[in-house]
Amino acid sequence: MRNVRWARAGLVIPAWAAIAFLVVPLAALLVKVDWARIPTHLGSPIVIPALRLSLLTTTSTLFICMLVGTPLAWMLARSTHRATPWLRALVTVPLVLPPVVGGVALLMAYGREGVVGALVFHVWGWSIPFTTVAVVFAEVFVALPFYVLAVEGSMRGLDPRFDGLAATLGASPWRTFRTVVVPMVAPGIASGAALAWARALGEFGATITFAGSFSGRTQTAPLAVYFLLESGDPQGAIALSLVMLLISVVILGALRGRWLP
Amino acid sequence: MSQTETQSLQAEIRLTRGLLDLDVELYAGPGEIVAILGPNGSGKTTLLHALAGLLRLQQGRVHIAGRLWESPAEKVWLPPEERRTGLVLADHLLFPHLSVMDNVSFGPRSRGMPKALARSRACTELEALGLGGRSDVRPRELSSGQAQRVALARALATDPDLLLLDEPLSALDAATRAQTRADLGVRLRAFPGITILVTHDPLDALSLADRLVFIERGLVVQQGTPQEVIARPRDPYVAQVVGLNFLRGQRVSDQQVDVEGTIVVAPEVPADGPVCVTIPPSAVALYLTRPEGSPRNTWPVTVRDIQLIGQTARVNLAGPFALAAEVTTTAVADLRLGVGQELWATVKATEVRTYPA
Repeated sequence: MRNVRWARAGLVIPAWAAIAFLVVPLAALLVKVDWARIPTHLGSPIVIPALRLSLLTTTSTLFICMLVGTPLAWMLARSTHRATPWLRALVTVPLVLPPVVGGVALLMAYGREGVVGALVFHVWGWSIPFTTVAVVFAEVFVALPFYVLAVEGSMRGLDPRFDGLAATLGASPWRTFRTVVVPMVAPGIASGAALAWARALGEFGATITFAGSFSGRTQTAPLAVYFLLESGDPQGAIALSLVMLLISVVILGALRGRWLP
Repeated sequence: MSQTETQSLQAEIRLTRGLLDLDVELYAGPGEIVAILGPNGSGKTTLLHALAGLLRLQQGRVHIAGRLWESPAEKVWLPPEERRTGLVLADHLLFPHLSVMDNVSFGPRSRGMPKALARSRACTELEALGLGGRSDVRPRELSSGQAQRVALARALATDPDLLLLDEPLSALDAATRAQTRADLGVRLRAFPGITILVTHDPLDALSLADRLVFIERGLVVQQGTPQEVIARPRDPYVAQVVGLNFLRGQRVSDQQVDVEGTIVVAPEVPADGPVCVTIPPSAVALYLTRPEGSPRNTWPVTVRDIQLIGQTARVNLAGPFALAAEVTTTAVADLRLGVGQELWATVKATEVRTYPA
């Protein structure tokens, strides 16, 4: 009996320590915020454009992820080619890559002197880095793997005989994908979308490296938080942080029960 | 070309998949129901998938209703969606996110039929299978028998030339299976296309099919009408399916066959060469001691196992060769039958049938 109780304590204490470690910083935000002045802070010329830009770029990112990520997930889920596991590993790389390295890589590829960017600049006279488009590039680069892996996982759980059956009923691969596969993995798509969107919203390292931090153009909400903190406006940073915390909680709550376990 | 040729199926299916080398020639006349029987892993499902175009042939061809669907030699291959097939599997695999109506009209819609027309086609098919009132529900609300009938309706709603049924009744419980088998029989009689029914249930095959094709390890071992197959099985598996004891032997005389060194006496034995011998289990009688003035077919045997089926018991015996006897439950009690018991088995010569192997 005594041993069991001690063993239980040995598990319970570290577990609660872990919870405290996670919750204390969030609670600290609530403790330190100057509630009365929140509206003023949120109405500042830094915060409003940052939130607007974050909304614009994360929505674009999500749209792109779904547009190209869903077919990629399907290809990875169903292909039996020898190279498929390697392709899957390749898609996972940005997931573990430090975001700032991703930003450097994006510069080398799409920068004015980059592998692809030089060509774009030469032909159209347009340079991608330090534009809103660059922000979306950075966000897609980090968010797409989250989306693809989540959707692929649920597509692999789909009985492959459904594909064959739909084909015998006369459905082309495209119609099967659209009317059978996508509706049946809708929960996977929803949770993949939530993950990808949340990752894009929080993106910092690749964005600041590849797109810089220009208010209204490339300064997204996380970048603005950092800028406010550095420029001696911690209350502004806290206010904006609280907004992002609120959004995260709302997204999590909306998905919970419905699509997330 | 004659009507028969234009509406029939001629297929030569040759492909290797894992350990299976499938090499089957299949013919089916217009409107015919052909049952494919065979043990697990014999290639039945692979055969269906090849016909549906879900697996590609390495050699051979598939020709049906005047159209060539596949011929590797001629570089012809129609993808599954361009073949006119309907597929029903053991588990219904209805699309869970679609209503019964949308499941059944999925095929016609996929083949470009306008929505209203597809729905009315689906309606007709659901009515024909007694599911008229269930068209708006989701598949999960259906009973297993209803779900399987919806799956059949979905396959038939495209008016296929070739209906492929892969163990359509095997996932159902006994009572539902009997009812669904009857419904299936009625609907298939009215279906003008060709039906290929894969099963390992002899009752499905005997009650539904016009012709039986037995395959083992990827090869056809016997085919014919149910009557022909019951009368003259040519393979132990076939005999087991139709419920007969099957032996192979060599002719010794006009009335004697040598089976693994034991003489079996029959009313007549075909001239020369190897001989197939069948003995109905009901013709095998069991005794505790060697019967006096016994019939000429008397062998010492040991009980291997006993299964009760209604009022009769099937007793599997080991002796000079494996033998099954069918006796009454009273006989089981009278003889106090038990596994390992030593007995004498007798068979009247008149009950033994022989034919050239």
